[in-house]
Amino acid sequence: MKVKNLNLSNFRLYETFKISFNDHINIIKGNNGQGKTTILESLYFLGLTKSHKTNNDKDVIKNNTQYAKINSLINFNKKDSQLSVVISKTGKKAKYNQIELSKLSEYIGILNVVMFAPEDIELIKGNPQLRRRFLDLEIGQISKKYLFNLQNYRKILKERNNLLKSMQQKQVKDFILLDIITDQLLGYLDDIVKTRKDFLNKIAKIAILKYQEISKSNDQLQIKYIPSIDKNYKTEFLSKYQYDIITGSTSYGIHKDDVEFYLNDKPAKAHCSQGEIRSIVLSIKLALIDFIKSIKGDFPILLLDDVLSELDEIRQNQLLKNININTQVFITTTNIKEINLAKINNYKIFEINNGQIKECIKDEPNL
Amino acid sequence: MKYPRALDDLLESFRKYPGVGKKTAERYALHTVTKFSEEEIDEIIGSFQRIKTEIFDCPICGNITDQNPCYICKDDSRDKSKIIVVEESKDIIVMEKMNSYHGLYHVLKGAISPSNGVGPEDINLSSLMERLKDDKIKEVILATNLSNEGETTALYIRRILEGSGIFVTRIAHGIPAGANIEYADEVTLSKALEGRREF
Repeated sequence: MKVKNLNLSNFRLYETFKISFNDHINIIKGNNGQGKTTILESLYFLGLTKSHKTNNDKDVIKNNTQYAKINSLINFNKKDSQLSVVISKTGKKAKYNQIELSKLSEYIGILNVVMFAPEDIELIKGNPQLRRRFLDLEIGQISKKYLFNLQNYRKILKERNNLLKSMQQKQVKDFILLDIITDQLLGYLDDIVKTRKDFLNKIAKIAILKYQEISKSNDQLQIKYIPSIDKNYKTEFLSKYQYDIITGSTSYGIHKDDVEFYLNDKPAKAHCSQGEIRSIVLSIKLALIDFIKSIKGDFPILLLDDVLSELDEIRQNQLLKNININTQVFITTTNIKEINLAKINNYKIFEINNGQIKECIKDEPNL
Repeated sequence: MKYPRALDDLLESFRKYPGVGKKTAERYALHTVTKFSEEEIDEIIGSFQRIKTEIFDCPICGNITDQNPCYICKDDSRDKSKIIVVEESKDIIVMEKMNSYHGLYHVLKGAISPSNGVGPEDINLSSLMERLKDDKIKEVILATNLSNEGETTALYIRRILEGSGIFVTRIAHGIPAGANIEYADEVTLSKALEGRREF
């Protein structure tokens, strides 16, 4: 997949913004606060209809304007297609070749995106919610069925929790209804657990090799899925009926799942250095690229937000070596000297200054 | 600009209709003021008032009617061994249009949804149970919507009818008539496959 050009209107600091990209490597340089990450954020939004930085879509709308718009020409399967996403105060809409899609789930996955940003180390160190968000976003971009199941699971979970709360006050409790809503929840839960398990197994297999390449070691990376429940669903749920009524919430389910990472059998969260954690995240992202390619038949675009300069020279070179020539990459950096340009061919450099972008000529001595 | 009070009240009344936003309500209200004669307005007021005096829910099936019982419940030529259970009266109108079902109906006037504060006791379920005590009824066809709420309601009815000897069925879901399989979304297609039958 290639993003040929990008047009933004009222997206964060950009009132209007236009750019044509290179097919392989695109380096966007500039000082802090000039709008580099915003370009990557808009590309991420274009693919996944979400921001990697905020859960509140409205945050991307430029102050004092009504809506933000992302418009782009992409190339996929040797065909050009027009993608656009409009974010307004009341919601967001996505268009594919000028036609508005009634469901976002039909849109997500047309353009696949893998992003690696400094805050991604939180995937290992942060709270479980971030890991569930990672699972949902990444599986969501390759499986519509997963998105459908997830959406319904959330709706039914809400129904169940509301029912539990209303049962707290009632003398005569309707356990038939609780039982039925529990069964409905389990119907979706089973599918989601299996999909998450399968996804993590496949990613783990690729990531272990990627890690060894990046770190030039024999270290064993392990990724373990920790489902809150994965068998005897009904009996386990039944045993918690009374407890669930008291707390007014559902004890088990995919909303309590977690993922654990181990390096040489030691929990990464507690034992790994900053550098090792960064390498783990990087191997997972590289594994994702290969995984998406195996399913969609084309490489996703790769967004590297200010991370290249944080890797030492060996890791940086390993990363660049691992990027297929057919992958389109977007790299932001404050200091171009930290990127080993000698190892890259086919690149374009753009400079951003206060929301204005210009392409740099490669022979310029001050590069 | 600010509208005169009476016009503003009318506008707000129109906004209570589904699918009518501010602009449409404005058009309707202004049309009423400028284009309708006094006779026409009286006529409209008359029809509105008759709705409340002449239209009521059928005490048997819950369908809206102007006669007691409604024309379907009253019709002796109908097959009294089958009942289709629907969420709303408007669902009966669609069902009747297909002209191939000749049994009875029951309107629940809603679907079970705890998050909207609707429990089994809040829908027209107890009168359905009353009706099912009649031995003549052999089959209950659950035609609630295929949404989560509709599914919850159908499953609930099936559960409370367990052991009653009544044959409970659920309408099928899958590919619409005349549609191409290549255009069906994955979810519909997998439902259609689950619900396949011997051929």
